Amino acid sequence: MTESHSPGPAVSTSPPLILLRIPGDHFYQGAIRRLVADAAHRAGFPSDAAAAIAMAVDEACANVVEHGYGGVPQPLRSPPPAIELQVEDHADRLVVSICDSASPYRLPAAHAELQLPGLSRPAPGEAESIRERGMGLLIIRRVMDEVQLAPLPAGGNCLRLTKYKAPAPALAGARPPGAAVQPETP
Amino acid sequence: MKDCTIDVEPKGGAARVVRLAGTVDAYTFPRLEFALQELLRGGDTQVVLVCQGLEYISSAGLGTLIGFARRAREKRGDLRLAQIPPRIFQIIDLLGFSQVLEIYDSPDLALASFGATGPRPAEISPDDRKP
Repeated sequence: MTESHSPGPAVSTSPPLILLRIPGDHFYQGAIRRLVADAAHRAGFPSDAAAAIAMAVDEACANVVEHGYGGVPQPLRSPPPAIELQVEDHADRLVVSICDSASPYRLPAAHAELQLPGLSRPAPGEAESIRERGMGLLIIRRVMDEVQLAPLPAGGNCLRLTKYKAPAPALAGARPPGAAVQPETP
Repeated sequence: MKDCTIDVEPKGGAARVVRLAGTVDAYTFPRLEFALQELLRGGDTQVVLVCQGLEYISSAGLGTLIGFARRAREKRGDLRLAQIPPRIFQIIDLLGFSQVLEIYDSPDLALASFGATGPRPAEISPDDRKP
């Protein structure tokens, strides 16, 4: 998996397979998963790989709603924040872009994020919650081949997730689309 | 896509059986969190989660399970999983949780494990640095 912070939004010359504007509300995440899984399957990924891609996108959208938009239900915000989802089916890869209007952010370092799952104690004020955090980005990084984050010119962020249809030449040991999701080798 | 359903069975022994089915994502996981919190509040720290009907679980749901397991272990209890569908197991394994949570083929085996004194999987602690 490769990762980068780009100075500007990635430019694609391929028409998107899907271009969708969705309210930034967790309620719509099931619909997003179904849509992305169907698109990935149509692009040639087996159902298991398509489901894994849909899960990565699900996690990315959940992060936007919870961290970018503060987790406030859409009906309570005006104007409602939105997520723009774009799916591009290229000959060699599927690219899913998740764009938001949230404040700029940076992806935490991979080595720092790897330490989070299930291991962090609740932050002050979260004593009543039994939830652990920090796994969404780990799922994204392990499922997708490339993760690119870029600021949008008019404000907001665009997270671009790429999954290759065959092992990427530059990525030794990259998984083919049909391979089961497996942990990375340390 | 099925909604999230959580059925807490009446207490029949030391451990409590909870059947989780459908979809647990960022929208539905608060129901799971609430159900598990209620068990902790009621003193139930030995829980078997039967996942036969589970179709999807996101990081929010998995975080809830890990959080409950850690708090239950602090009180000498545990969360043990049974009948995990293969696709769900792949995600649990992807995150390294198959080394942390005990997983059994059947609810009966998971229930019986609470009476056993064998070694437990890796402790969930802030010092643990496994992904």
